[in-house]
Amino acid sequence: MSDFAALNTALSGLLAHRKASEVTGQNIANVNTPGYSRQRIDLTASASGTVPAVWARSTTVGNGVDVVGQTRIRDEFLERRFLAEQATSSSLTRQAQTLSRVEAVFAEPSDTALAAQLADYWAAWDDVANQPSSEGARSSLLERGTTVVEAFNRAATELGQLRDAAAQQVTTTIEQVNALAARIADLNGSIRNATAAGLSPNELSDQRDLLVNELSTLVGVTTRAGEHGTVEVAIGGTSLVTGNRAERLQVADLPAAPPNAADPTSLVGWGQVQVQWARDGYPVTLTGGEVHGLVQAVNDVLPRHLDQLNTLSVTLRNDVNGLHATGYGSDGGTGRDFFSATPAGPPYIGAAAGLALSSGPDGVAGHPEWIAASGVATPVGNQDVSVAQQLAALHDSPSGVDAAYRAFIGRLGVEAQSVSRRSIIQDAVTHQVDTQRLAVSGVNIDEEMVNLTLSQHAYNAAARVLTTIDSMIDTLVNRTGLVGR
Amino acid sequence: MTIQRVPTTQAGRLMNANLQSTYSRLVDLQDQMASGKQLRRPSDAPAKVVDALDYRAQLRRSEQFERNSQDAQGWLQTADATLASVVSYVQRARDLTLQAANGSQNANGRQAAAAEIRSLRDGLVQLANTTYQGRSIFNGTAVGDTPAYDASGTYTGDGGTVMRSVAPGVQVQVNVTGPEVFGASAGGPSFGGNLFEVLTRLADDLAANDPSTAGTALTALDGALDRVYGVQASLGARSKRVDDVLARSAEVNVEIRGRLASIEDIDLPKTIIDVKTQELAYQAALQVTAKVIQPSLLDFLR
Repeated sequence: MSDFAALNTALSGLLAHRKASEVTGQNIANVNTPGYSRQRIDLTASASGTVPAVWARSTTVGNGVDVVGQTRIRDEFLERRFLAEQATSSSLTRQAQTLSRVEAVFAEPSDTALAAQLADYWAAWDDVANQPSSEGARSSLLERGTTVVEAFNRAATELGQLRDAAAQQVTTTIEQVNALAARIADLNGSIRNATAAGLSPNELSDQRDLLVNELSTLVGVTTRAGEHGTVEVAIGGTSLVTGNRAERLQVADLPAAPPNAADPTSLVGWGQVQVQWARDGYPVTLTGGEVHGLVQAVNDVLPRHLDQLNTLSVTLRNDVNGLHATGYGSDGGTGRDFFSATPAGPPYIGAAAGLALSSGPDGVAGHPEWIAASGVATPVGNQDVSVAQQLAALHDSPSGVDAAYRAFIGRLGVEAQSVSRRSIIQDAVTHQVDTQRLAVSGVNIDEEMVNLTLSQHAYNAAARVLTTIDSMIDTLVNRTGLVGR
Repeated sequence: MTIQRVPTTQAGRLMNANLQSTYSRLVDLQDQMASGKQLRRPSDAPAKVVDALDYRAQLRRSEQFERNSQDAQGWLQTADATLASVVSYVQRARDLTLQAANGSQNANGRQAAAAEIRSLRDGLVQLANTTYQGRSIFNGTAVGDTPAYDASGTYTGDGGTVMRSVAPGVQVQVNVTGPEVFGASAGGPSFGGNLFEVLTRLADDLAANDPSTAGTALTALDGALDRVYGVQASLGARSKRVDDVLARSAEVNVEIRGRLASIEDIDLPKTIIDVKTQELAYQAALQVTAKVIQPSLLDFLR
């Protein structure tokens, strides 16, 4: 056995254990770094020649230790599960937030919200019935009617503002997604180059994985390991990032459905938004992430609630106008409408936003004497109030606006509560998966201390071996064959 | 049992998450205490919100019914007071007729009686045109400022009914028309016509020094009195009905308010205890968090 080879063996030990303590130092330095996965070096005993030969046989014990790699310790399965759960969680959070805002638009139960205003409106009809020739009672009825109309208009406008804000946020978030995808692609490129050159890309990989996590909260993604340490990121099965190339997404506004005049409840003219691949305009299959929650809000939740609001306003308009047209005003006129629903300007938001007191040549707005309280035509200006009392009794009608509105609020409450609960549960699940994956990849200082102690002892021992071999060589070189000197 | 690896930062993360959830529950309870309401949004309790809206609607409707009832009482009481005066006038006319009927008067006496009867009739016309809130109460549903009877005792109103809704599905008629009180018209002064025509005919006869019709007049006046008494009785019955409805709806309102409060309002003692408990939990969590910095192996290695 060669002494100098033994020196080499000791040297390899020194180097390996110094590397090990460097890695431990790296772990400890990054104990609080978000997205950091603990690293560990892989040591293998380095073998001497194992190829059998007849004359050139080696009898060495081994050649020391090799550092064959520096790996990140992470559980890929848990990481992928975390991506999925996080995407679902942020989508549900966004949906819960949308529904909570819709609840705030209606603000029930309250003494000043729409239900109370409708009740006051019907009560005003009763006041007119009590004093049909009183100018004050009739003007007060018009005022209360205006309040109800304004409540409907305001609710429709606020739903419209929520929709526009959500649509704008989709665009902003997609821009963020594109930026993240580009950075992930860049990092993939750097990692591939580093791996191909035999360098350790662990820190770059950690950065890239952190970006992938962020991407997943925005738009749910799935990952697959690519070649040379790169990662392939896909949305809905279609690849977003492959190697160092990234696709882009875009947001398209689909044209609004044309209003159907025969069915007043179809008067929702809001367009839908669609997230598409920029390359070919093909729609993206979204399964989670904030964008999914926002697109749900814009395409489903908000239009659905506006539709119901529109239906309510149409019910009110038809119920009141139907009775009002059969009545007679103090001037003897009949066939007048109380409410009109003229379409608002484009974008055509529908009946609730356009609800108004009837104006124009036959409109009651500004003409309290034209309110048709009486049910008999003659004499003109008579004080019969049967129509007014029928209108006041609409408050109790089981098919009237009030009953329908209560049912609407009930449904809104159920939906909001259900999504909110799912969101809370999902957050708990996400948190649990996060804890599990960090249990694998997180740094534990006690463990690192133990590793550091081991490396230190190993280093000391290897240095001792070096000293021993050195003194053996010294003996051989300087003291052998000095007989008699 | 597998031993789970616990990274160093895990304790901090867990503590943080628990602090957040404890604190948010505390803030929620404090919000309930401050507002006095446990039902602030439909999603807090959807089924209860529908009930709450229902009760509120009932209460508002009930308020309006109360207003209608008070208006109805105004009508009925005005009519009642008027009819009481009508009765006293008619009784005076009856007395005068009795005097004329027993033949003890001379021509001058009859002239004086005729004059008084005419003035009684004018007074009765004025009573017949009593108004309530600017509207003639005996003219049915005719145009607002039309009097019920003109100066000559002709009915100028119509036969319409004035109803007031005093409870769900309950309407009470609050008016009586002129002919119901004073009788149907015969077209001119006659003992078969309405009260004013009877009095006019009587006054004309007495002024013409003809007391022979006094007996017929007496019968007619008795008939008129009976009619008025009948109307008074029916008005009294209606008034009592309105009172009963008012009393019952007041009881129902108290019950509805109680139910609404139980749905919407917080149970104050329970909420106070919950807040205190939660504050305690929060403080405990904070104290434990402060001790999260545990000793690690570093403290024990040389």
